[in-house]
Amino acid sequence: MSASLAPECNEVKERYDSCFLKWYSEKYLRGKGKTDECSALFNDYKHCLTNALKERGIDKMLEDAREDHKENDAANMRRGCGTKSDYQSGQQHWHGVRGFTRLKM
Amino acid sequence: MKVFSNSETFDYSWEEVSTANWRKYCPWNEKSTHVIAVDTLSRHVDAETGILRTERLITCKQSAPKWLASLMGGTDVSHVFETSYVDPESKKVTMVSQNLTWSNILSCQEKVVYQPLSATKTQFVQEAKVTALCGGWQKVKNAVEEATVCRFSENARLGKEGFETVLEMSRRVFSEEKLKQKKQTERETVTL
Repeated sequence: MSASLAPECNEVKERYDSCFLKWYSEKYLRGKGKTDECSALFNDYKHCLTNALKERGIDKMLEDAREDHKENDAANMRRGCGTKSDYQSGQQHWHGVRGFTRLKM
Repeated sequence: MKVFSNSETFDYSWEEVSTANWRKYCPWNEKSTHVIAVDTLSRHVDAETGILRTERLITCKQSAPKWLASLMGGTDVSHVFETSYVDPESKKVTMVSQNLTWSNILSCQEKVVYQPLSATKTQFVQEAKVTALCGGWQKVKNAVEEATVCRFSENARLGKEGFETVLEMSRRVFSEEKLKQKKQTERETVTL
């Protein structure tokens, strides 16, 4: 697996990545993967990464890019025009997004 | 604006390619050394469509031509934000990315799609749009765009070579794993 931009997060990242890859290849691609099996590991990793991004000032750069990329959802999430995505409504979240919005404060 | 486009065929199934794609920049890839880190920012499965949406932050380190480096403020580390969508139903991976660093002078938007050509072949289509935003002479803008497109095509060539190694290694590790499991099951059956 690839490294994290924050060396202190490498260990937790490695654990999460392995979990995800196993889930992806053995369950998700076989249509059996709707449940969140790696979320505890992801939360550990995210906790570490969030601090690293803040320290490096990358969190600010991310805010704008994330806004821009929301436009891509309409084309790639098989949604019609004008329908509110779950990304915005905050429902059915697997993991991640909500934690990162906290960065903005 | 300048456009760079490229397409490749990999002799692996879409499932293998889309799995290996998550570790495209692991140590098995000795060619794409400009990517020094890949971090996952968020990930979820859409309940309605089953599409897996992932946000990642990609960190690169590469030396730009001297004249360009001074324009970019002298740093050689840059960040790219990527959103990807995996649709297991239509067997399609779409990845859209844009540069976070130097975004005041240069906009780089890339789109990559992986789709099956057959049960054992997968197509990779890449398109990048490069726009220099710096005010001033058209000549300077053209030079900035050309240098960026040039780097894109260089990275694309190396990226294909590196990814081939990752695919090969992934297949080998996977078959070894399968063999181990098979032996384990056999052993258990014997003990029973």
